[in-house]
Amino acid sequence: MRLTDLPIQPQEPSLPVVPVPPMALDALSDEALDALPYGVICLDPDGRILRYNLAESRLARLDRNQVLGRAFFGQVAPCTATPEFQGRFASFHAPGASAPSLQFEYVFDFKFGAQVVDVELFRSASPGRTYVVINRRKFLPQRPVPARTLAPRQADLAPDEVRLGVLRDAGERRRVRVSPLLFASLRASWERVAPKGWGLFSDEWGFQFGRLAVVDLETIVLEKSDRTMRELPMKQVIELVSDYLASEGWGRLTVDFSPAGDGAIVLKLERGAIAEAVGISELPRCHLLAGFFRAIFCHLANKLIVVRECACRSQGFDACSFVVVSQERRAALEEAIEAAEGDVPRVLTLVGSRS
Amino acid sequence: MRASARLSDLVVGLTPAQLAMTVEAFFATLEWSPKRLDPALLSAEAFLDAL
Repeated sequence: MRLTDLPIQPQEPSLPVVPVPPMALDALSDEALDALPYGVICLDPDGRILRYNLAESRLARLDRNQVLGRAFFGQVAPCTATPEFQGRFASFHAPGASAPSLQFEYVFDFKFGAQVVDVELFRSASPGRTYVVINRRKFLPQRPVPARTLAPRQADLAPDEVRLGVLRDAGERRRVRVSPLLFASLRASWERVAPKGWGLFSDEWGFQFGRLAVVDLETIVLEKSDRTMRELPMKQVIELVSDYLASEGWGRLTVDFSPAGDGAIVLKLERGAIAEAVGISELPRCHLLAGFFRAIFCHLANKLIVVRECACRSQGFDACSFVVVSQERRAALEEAIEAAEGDVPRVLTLVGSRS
Repeated sequence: MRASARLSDLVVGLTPAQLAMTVEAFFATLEWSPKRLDPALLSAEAFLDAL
């Protein structure tokens, strides 16, 4: 298929709603491991780190690039160099041991606080490899333990990185400051190469970006409430997402829940960064954010949800409006957007009458 | 009908038509309808599942 043959409307990807069997972790790509909402570390028989997923990186506040290849028990997590953790790991690998898994509770001691966790060791299909799956259960203040046993901070592992142009936020995540003009130049590039491909590409890009943001958001919720996003009231989740987007400079998100009884809600983004960057347009241009929202809502609902932008600031409207419906209403929504030409109330009426 | 009345106390011996009217009246006393979705009360998962 040539790029110019790409369809305008994005396809709904399949959504993994079933938890990943731990024995299948070996078969997952690094990207798939990064979409898991719990920590996953792969160790060799000496305890050297071979794989380290995004959730673990976020919760331990350590950059994956700085921990890969290091000794887990000696350098990255000295709080685990105990009979209760390292001893169990050694027993798990002792000659003749064959149990497929081993589960125990533990407390991680970081310099920024302690974490009560459930640990499960899984024997990999690859000889000598062990997967350590870590579920956080509770966040505590720092405990009075010997300083040498505390897990290091990112700055301890890479003390010279500021001089080398590495920026980090309060959660030790690496940051790159970019202008919204990056999106304008990207869209211009698509216009030159494959005009019909922009929507498909940026929606999928936003969806993948949103899946990673889910890990971040779940971590924020877990640290504050020991709950998951799905369990929180819908309104509270929206406020969380809105604050998250605003803190990153994307604009201010609000939601109109009033059409929910008819099977839809409307997201409104004021001062959207993409819409203001890409210039005047005949069609909605915030596919990246539609994909981002879709990932968030699919995660929350644990099923396929459809999000489409039906009016965009780049078209001259005051704000960008996205309509959220279930997968069953997808066709009705797309027909309604086509017919309503940016009139959001009319889109909702049409969706309601055609469903 | 009192809003605190238990539905099970009301339905014994009713015909299906009477039962339907009773259920409707019961919801009316609560000023609540099955289609009303309250984002402040429902969990995110339950809210989106009802869309």
